[in-house]
Amino acid sequence: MLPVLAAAVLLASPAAFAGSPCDVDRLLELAHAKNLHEDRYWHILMHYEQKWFGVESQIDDPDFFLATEGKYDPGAELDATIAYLFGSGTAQQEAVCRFYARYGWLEKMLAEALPGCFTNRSCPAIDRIDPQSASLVFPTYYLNNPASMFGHTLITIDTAYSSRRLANAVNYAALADPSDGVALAISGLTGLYRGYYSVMPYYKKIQEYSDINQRDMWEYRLNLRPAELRRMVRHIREMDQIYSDYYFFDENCSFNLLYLLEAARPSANLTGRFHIAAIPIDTIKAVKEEGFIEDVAFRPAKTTRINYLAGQLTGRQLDTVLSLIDGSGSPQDLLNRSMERPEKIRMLDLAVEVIQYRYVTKALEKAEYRKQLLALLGARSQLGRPETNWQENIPVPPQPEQGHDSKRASAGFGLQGGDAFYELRFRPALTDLTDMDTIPNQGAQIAFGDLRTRYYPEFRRLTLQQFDVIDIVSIAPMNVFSRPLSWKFNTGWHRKPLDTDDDASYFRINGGAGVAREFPFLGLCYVTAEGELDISGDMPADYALGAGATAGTIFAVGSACKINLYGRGLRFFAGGHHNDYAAGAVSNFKVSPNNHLSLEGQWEDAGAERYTVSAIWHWFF
Amino acid sequence: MKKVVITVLICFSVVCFASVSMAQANTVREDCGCGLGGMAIGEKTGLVWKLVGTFLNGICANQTFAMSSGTLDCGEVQSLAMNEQLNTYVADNMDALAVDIAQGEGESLDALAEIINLPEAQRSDLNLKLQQNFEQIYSSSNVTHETVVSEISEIARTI
Repeated sequence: MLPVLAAAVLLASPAAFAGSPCDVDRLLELAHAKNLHEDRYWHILMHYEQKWFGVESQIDDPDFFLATEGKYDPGAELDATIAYLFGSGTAQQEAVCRFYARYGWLEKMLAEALPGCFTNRSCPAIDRIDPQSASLVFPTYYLNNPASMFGHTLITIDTAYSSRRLANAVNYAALADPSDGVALAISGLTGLYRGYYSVMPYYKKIQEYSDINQRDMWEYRLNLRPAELRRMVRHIREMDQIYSDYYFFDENCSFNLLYLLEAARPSANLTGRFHIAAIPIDTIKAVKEEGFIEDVAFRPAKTTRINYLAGQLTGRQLDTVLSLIDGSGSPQDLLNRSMERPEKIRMLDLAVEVIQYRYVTKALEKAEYRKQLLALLGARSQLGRPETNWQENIPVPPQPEQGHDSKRASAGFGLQGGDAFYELRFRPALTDLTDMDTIPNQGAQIAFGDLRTRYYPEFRRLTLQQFDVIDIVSIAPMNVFSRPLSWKFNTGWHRKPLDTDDDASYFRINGGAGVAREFPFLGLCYVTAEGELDISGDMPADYALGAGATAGTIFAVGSACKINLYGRGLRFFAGGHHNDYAAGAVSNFKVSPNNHLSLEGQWEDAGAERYTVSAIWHWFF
Repeated sequence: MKKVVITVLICFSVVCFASVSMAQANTVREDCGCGLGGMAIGEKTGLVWKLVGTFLNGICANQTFAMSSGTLDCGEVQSLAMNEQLNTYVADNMDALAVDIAQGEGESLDALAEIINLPEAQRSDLNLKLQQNFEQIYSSSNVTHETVVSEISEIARTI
């Protein structure tokens, strides 16, 4: 728990509350007369959700509820809360501090009628927290960690300091018990993890996301006023040590932050928008639509900084930087060279960024890292400050919330061999290799539940063409300083032409790893070695196991078109022996942010040849 | 039979995926605090690495100067006569501060100046003096955060 918020509570002096006359029965009566248990703010504070029958709180910790049936009964919980806060049976300050958000709301609703109950009651420890502003922070997609694939969000609250690094980062995350491996395996989707809110210095989050995970971060500054911020802080304190079951798709990190924003500004409708899934970027769009966002700042990850700086240097200068990194050149020698000072600064700064990157990726031992870092920084400290700091010149990519929406419906037509077909597609999430909105310079595909059906009018036949459960591709280019692994994993139903009669439907599990590199004119070129297991009643032995490779390139044409060319060959050597070759092109034109047009062509031979061309219109929503 | 096999395989692939995901729902670093273990394996993900992270932190002694957080916050941050907050901040930001001091500016230095309550007009001076004395502040790769704090305080006093 973070110093400012936590220390304030710990240091709270036990200020005595003068026992003003308070008639608890009158309070209850009034609360009933005003139907307070139906008040929206009560439902926000209790995280109540409308269910088919009545309501249910999304919080699962019994410590959060004062009434036995509080999770399902807003009225009973309200009565119990009033009895707890104002009854004689409890230590009043402790009660008020434990549920200060509930207390503050009751004060607003009832203090006018019954002032006696609210005089001389407060929680100085929480009142001392003086929030100034808040931001919603979005560390972008991180393909190397499936849980973070869709990104993550957290809220930062600035208190006494104006420095961003010293803000309080409020985070909601699942707390896994690493001692129980079996539970870990099953818990993912079934809500067996407990999710907690936590507060820590923002600099720790910057280290985690920006320095170690190499994720660019977006900071959306919110226009919350001090009174709203205080309401949010009170609710955060109320949620301290309180757990809810964590669900990967809906009751996740991003969804749970929305309660905090609603606690600050109850007029906003945020949690009510998400039912099946809450994708982080969609929650940001919702927050934006509700008018919370004031401005936005970009915090580049270490690799983004390295790529920028490397792009500023000539080939010879890069060689010098490499020599500093591999130890063949000394930083002091660099100082003595006849070269402009700003150039020396850029080279040393780049070398520092790179050795830090190498250290966190375990390419460099700690002892060696320390030695190199100090030598480089020692030389750097003799060069003073540059006229303009290069960090301010790093280009800001397009804001992620301005990209297309997450869900996609598509319609189109095409030809397979000589047969015409119409095609309908639906994909709940999120992006693919030819998407213009993803991080430039990186091939990222995160596709869930991609469903494709075809209708062949000539044969009056409807077919399930494809259903991908998941299809993830991460193509990360190597450069002189780093050699990241590219990889892919996909599983789902597909079709392939095993013989001339008909396409065989099969279920496949396919995964692979490889390398990628960016070349001028050729684009982002990639090669992956891969293995595949097919299961199908149309194959001998009902399965086929194979291995092979895919190679391809992705490149942009102008600012609104991206093309993926690929070739693939797999040899199935167990079960249903066959070879499967394919080559094709997918081009994607961005007509508007939420309307794209794809032209696709593919040749495939898995025993019989098949040519397919199609034109598909995509609509994102 | 075929249906059963397919169902099992789908479940298996989904559960595999989910398990990897969830093991990472809070990362290695978040579980371990900011110590050596968390830092050293920051790039590695997955359940095994999570366990390793916990283990490493358990045995972490008071070594110094890991990147950014340092290993320092594994051990107890000693409260000298200095401000507790400054101690914690420097211990948590050893590497980031080293870089900013050598460069003579940066977000970590801005935060430091706020913690020691230095008026804005004097911050540029402090940064410059710290830069000029970098090799004294970070005198060796075994430097501790206590030394860095006292060196910085010494220099700040001359501003």
